[in-house]
Amino acid sequence: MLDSLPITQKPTARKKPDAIDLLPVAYIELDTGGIIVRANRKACKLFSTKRKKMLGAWAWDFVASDEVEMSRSAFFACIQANEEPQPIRRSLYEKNGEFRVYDIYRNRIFSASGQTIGLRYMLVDVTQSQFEDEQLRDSTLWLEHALASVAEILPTGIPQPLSPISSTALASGTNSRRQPQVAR
Amino acid sequence: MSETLPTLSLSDTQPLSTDAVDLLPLAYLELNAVGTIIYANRAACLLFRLEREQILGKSAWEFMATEEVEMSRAVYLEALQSKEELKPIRRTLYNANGEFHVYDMFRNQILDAQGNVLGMRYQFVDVTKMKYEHEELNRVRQWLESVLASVNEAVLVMDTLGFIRYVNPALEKLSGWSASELLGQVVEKKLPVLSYTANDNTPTPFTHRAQLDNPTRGRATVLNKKRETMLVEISSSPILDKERGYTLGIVSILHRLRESSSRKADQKKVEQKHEVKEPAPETKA
Repeated sequence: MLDSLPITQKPTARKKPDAIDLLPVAYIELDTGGIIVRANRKACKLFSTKRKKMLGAWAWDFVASDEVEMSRSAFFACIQANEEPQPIRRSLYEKNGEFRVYDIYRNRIFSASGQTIGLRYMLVDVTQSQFEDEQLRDSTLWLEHALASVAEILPTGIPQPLSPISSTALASGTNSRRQPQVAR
Repeated sequence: MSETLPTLSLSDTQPLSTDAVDLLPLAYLELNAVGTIIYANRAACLLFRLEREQILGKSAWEFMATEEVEMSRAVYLEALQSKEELKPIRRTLYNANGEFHVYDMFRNQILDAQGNVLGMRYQFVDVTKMKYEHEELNRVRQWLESVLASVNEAVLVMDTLGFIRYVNPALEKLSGWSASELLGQVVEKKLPVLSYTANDNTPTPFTHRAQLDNPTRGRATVLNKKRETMLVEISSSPILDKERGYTLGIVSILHRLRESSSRKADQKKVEQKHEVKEPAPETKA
């Protein structure tokens, strides 16, 4: 079993094609110190880095600097917790300096004795969908404020709504509360 | 198209996956060239709420929403022959409990040593909640737009820089410009204001800056698309995000005035001015 092996043995070269290596999604394994001990082809491509350079590197070398501290403490909390970690969203930067946003799915790697010896990560690029979502959220908020202004200056007020506005969509996922950008 | 593909049964295609794949945090499936599931990891079994034996050997389309099956099958056969990197796809699948979920599927081809395509690998990401939220947000946006569209008066919405962000059908009718011609344009270029008189006779100039600071109301001569002058009453108000204290833009309502009534109003104004300059004898006393 893979999990029964000491984690430091995992990055060693394999003779036949590795199923993990052929996955269509980027895959990384970190040991309990946050060191990358395994990375598949997609992960190397994602970071535009050779596997040799990735293995042994600190995971936060690839994280946006403003997220490093938070990400690090979340990692160690996760290692110590007895629960399965939830998906997280992080901004990672590529070699060309561009940031991309990833949804990261994780679970724990156990030793034969049941101890947590690391975490598995699968990274899904959500940059485009997050951008579209933010644009839609901003423009909807913008329209909502515009409508409120119209109601203030229209002598007859605005027409009665045909159906109530559900503000749940606007309220949800507003972790990125920032000034709406003007879409042109 | 399917004739050109190798026809493989379940026993012909051995899954490449190992224990490590079984422990992945995301659901993973391998299909052979005819779309039969030949491998499913633990997360995939959880996703379908089935035992592995109940999944293996089944057609992938047995778990798919009926309306997507035909399209999905065609896309699958195309993907098997593709020479390019395959883009993610979105599909609706149901589990043993009868619940539908939407998944983004990341895929690539399974190749043998000679480079022949044997099947496909799929990695599933559940996006049901995200899709629902996005659709809900879209509905809210459409609703807001339809409310603005239903306003009888001409509504013009600009951002803080003066670029037109929204116009309703009444404004299109009034100005002669279509929404597509106006959106993203600077308002002064499309609807130039030749003259402006504030209703309260304040000497404040009719500038974008002034409109951003305070609500304004006044009569203006504006050029329409045909470059004809029209007399309108413009009521403007800054769009405020009161929660965060930002000014987001300006909303203006344009109401066309008839020439005759405006002339009367002009005349009245002149008379009022005259009264102020020369007070009545009683006032003097």
